[in-house]
Amino acid sequence: MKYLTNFILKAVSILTIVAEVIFSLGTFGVIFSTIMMFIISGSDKEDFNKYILSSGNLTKGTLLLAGINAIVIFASLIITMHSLRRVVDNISNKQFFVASNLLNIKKMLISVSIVTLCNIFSMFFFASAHVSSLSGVFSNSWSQIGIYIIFVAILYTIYLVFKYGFELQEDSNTVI
Amino acid sequence: MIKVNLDIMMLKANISSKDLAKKIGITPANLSILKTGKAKGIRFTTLEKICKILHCQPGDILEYIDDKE
Repeated sequence: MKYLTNFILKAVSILTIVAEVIFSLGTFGVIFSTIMMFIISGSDKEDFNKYILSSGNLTKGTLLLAGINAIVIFASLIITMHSLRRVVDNISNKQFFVASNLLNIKKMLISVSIVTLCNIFSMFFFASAHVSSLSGVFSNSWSQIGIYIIFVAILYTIYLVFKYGFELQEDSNTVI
Repeated sequence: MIKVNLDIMMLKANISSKDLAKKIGITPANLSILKTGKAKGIRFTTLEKICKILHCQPGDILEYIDDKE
């Protein structure tokens, strides 16, 4: 059982690194495409206007706003994965109710809340542009937003458990 | 409040903090917390070990003082 737990924690730790790399690539992709949107010229610009702006009734400003929103989502997801890895690593080292875990869970809670809010915005963007999301990262419906809200609620419960556990641990540490 | 008279008992028993901490099985830092009264509580097992090493009663180590006095 101990080996299984260690294996699962190690696997989660590796998965968070993989996710961080993927989200970083996503961030660079969005930054690159946002910059390219303003510097393309010639036939590429005509194609961009024809297939992207005209078909979705969009402006460059709207796309820029959507790009910034996507960058915020990716940045929040990177912070979430980084914090999750630190919590998992602490748990692997048998450090449960420590200040570091409480802080990282708080960071995760804030990041996931930001992701949820930005996803609500992206959902409106996709609806107004009459396009569907290309990636699973961005929401397309209220049901997906609902799942995010449930996830935030679960994270908040975990945060409260760790906060109470941390207080108990501090109390226990001062009993000699 | 509860006053901890550990340093008096240690003086009587002529034992250093380092030696007492080692014999009880706690860190010198934790013994210092106990001596200065910063500890929120003391375990029966720790109290028992202290009494055994210092040849005293729990009442010799812990003393109740009325705050009004």
